[in-house]
Amino acid sequence: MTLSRSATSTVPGADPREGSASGPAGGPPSGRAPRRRRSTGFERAMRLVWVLTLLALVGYPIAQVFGQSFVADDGGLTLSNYGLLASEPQLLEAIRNSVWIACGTVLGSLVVGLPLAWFTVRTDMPMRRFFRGSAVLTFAAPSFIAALGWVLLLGPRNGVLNTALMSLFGLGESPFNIFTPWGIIFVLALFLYPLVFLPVSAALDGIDPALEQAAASLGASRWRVLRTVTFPVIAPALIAGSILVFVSSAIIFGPVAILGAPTGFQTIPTVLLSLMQFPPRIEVAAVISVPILVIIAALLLIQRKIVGGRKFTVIGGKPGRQDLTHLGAGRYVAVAFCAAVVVLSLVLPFGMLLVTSFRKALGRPLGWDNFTLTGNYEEVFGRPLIAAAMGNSFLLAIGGTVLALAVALLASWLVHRTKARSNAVIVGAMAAPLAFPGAVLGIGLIIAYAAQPFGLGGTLTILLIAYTGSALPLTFAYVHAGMGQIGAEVEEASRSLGASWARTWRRITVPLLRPSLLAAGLLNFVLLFRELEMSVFLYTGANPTVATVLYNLASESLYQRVGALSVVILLINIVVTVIAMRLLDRKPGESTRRSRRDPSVALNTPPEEAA
Amino acid sequence: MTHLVLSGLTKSFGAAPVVDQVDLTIEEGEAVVLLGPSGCGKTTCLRMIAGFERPDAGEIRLRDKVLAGPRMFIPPERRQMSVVFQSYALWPHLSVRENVGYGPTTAKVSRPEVRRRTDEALAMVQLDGLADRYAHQLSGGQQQRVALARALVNDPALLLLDEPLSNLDTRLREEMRSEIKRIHRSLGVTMVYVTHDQAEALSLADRLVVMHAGRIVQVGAPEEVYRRPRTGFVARALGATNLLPATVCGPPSADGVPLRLPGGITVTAPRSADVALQAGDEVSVSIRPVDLRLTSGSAGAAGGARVSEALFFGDHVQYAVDLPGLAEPLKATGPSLGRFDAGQDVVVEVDGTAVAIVSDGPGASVPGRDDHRPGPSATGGATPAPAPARRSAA
Repeated sequence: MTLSRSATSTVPGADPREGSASGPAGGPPSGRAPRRRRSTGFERAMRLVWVLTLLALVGYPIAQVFGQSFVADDGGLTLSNYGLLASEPQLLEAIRNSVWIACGTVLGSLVVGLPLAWFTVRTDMPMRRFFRGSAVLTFAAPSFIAALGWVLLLGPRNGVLNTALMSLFGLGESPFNIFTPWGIIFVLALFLYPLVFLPVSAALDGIDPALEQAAASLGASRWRVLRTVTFPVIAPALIAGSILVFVSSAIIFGPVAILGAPTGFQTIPTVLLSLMQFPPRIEVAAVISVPILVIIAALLLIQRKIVGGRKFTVIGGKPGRQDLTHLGAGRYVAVAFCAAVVVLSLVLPFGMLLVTSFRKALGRPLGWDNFTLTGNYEEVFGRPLIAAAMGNSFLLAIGGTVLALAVALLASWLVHRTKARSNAVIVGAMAAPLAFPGAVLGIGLIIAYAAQPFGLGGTLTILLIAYTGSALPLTFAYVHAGMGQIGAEVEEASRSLGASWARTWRRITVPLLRPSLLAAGLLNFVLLFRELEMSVFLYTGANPTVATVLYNLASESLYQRVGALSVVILLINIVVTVIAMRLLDRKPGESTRRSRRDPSVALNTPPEEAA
Repeated sequence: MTHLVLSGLTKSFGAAPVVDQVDLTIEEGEAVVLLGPSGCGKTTCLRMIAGFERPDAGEIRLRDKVLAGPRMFIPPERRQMSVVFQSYALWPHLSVRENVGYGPTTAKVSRPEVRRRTDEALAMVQLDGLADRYAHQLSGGQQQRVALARALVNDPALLLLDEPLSNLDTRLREEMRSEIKRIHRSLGVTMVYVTHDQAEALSLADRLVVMHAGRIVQVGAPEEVYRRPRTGFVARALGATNLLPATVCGPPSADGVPLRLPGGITVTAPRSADVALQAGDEVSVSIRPVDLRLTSGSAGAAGGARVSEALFFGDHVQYAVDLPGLAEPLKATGPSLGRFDAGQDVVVEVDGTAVAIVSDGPGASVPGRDDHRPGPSATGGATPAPAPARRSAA
């Protein structure tokens, strides 16, 4: 029933204005029809609210960045600012560095992510579930805190691993130096590989085993099956994931700032920060931001094209029914590989921070005389600055999360329950902040709101705007997907039984959306609580957040305190993440939780409708 | 007593009209089935009655109240209609009891009364013991029963069912079909039922409405529509049939219209109300496969033909028969005792009362029909799948 389907998904049935019996009859939907569709006043008002909100959060600041790049010193319009790109060698070098870091990180992520995906999905390696879950955990872990851990491990002078290796092999100098581009790539690849791993393993999961069995039954060797059937199916996931890694690593701030600073190695976001420091050269920052925005937007559009048509997860067949490859003795190699990834990405850096948080002095060797259980923590929490930062971060994370949820609810209601040509724009616009590096959005917010008439520079309000805007894509993805699974029919059923639009929304729609709302809310809280990329631009000394405090402690090389504060942030992260997983794992009517589900499913795919 | 009136009901999506000037009157207590292929507008009709779509033009009246019309639109929650959806649309976060009790609870009925009515509705659909389960713990058939109970508990002015059985397997579908029939009989609720399955349509309808391309093409009692389809489209919509060219070979009389069919068969068919005929006119006729009788005979006689294919189904046999003068083989159904084999010569006999003169030719297309499960069922032996058009090697 193609007809009934299309009708179902596009009914303006959830329209409160229908309550007025004298309202005008709705016309046909807009389109080629000569008659225009007359949307109701409520619908139009909601659309307007959405447009204004998005303009304030994202549109206006980004427009300001574009505008500023064309403003001359005397206030007139000019293209001459773009000449700066050629005349300032540090700008070009930063761009070159970004590309180089990004390419290296893509390769590194593939080297880590592809074998991990294959091992965990398609082989009989032990502990597959554990390794899969740990990849998700990596993603939830803050990369700049990991970088701090690696500074302690592989710093050229005092790095714990370096000294251990030196004494073990009698080396005269440290074998590794984390303060190099290679070090940056190493840390980034270990942090970003889930962007390749997750889609590829989902694609592997989704392959209908019949596809491969059919090829095998026609006489194809295992290698030929892999090449002609398996690989083409996962290729879109692989390419799309690689593009995401490329974009993320080219514009990531934290790890690069921490690891690049000692040698003056700068990429795009760090050079942007130095441009914004006193005396600020906003027009130069704007000039470098514009081409970057354009390139990233183009890359993400390509990525979306690749992902768009085909959903890896629903290629067909039931997941988990594939024939597993028997690795034999190779299982130990596989486990060793996966374990190494977990150790390198999680255990070592964060363990090191934990250890450091109990050390009295960095210079002295580990030992009981260098142990203090609470010393560093007391030091950290004794400072009013840090207490204030904690309060600010909590407030901002909760505020940003709630506001983003509200905007996302409004947007997905518009998309799913109203019918207008412009609905496609909403989906694109809600995802757009993905294309704005935190640095660029931060600069845009400063241009837009820091000065009069708004005068928000350095306030909590400007941070809240920043957090809300940056939380939109993820929030919307969850809420939109959740809403998409709530067929219009479940709402129509309620209305035909006598419930008003408001009651239907309260009793049916929101309760059904609860898993999506929870998932989006908790994840956002985790990500916003430790937000660094924008905060570091917006921070003027007045309203610290935990991330900016941590960043400043690191720049002052106060690593015991860095360790203590990192541990606290990580604990909060972990607790919230665990709560999220627990809550998401529950279905109505089930008193006991089901057998432990794959956590990657819980966190990364919006939960399926409980039906 | 007249219950629901649709007059001039029209709705377009984009440029194409989906429902086009539909007029229909439904009596109190009646079960009306809208039958048609996908895209014929039957579901949109139902959704306009429910209040999920606004008509572009026309009027919907319930008793003497206008539900939708020019400058008038009553929202679904004030129409007292219950809808049973194809997807069941049960709320997964509520238990069976809460699902069924939703209507009365919304209407602020007292708690014990809600409970009483819920129990009663659940008993009606024979789900007494499952009140505390959740939808995902029920089978498809049980879910559909809950959806039915949820709709009935509100004592609706009109029960609307949108392809309620098409997500069920054949056996359950038959079971639920008789269940719905039983409930309709015992409650006497007025019912509008949308389906593309002719077995459901014929067995459930008091009155059958066949729709095509947004318009009603025929309305009548199921048997009447089945026996006397007005067009080739309607004939096919209600099951397998042979659409044949025929010539009026004498003046029509009170007894009927004398016709010569291909192969030299002559019959006297009942008169068609629509078409005024005279001798020599070319017409199309519809003859159901069960109404063709095959007897053994030689190739020379009138109606002499050769069996090109015989498919054995246990209780009956489906034949494809090559009749001289026809490009397509005839479809015929016969008893499995005394069956014929492919290649055998037979004589085709037709009872004139089984011949329906239709107003369009055999070429009349039935868009979309082949997209669906044909839905033949053991009880509906009269609806065999079309025989393959393969010609015999002879």
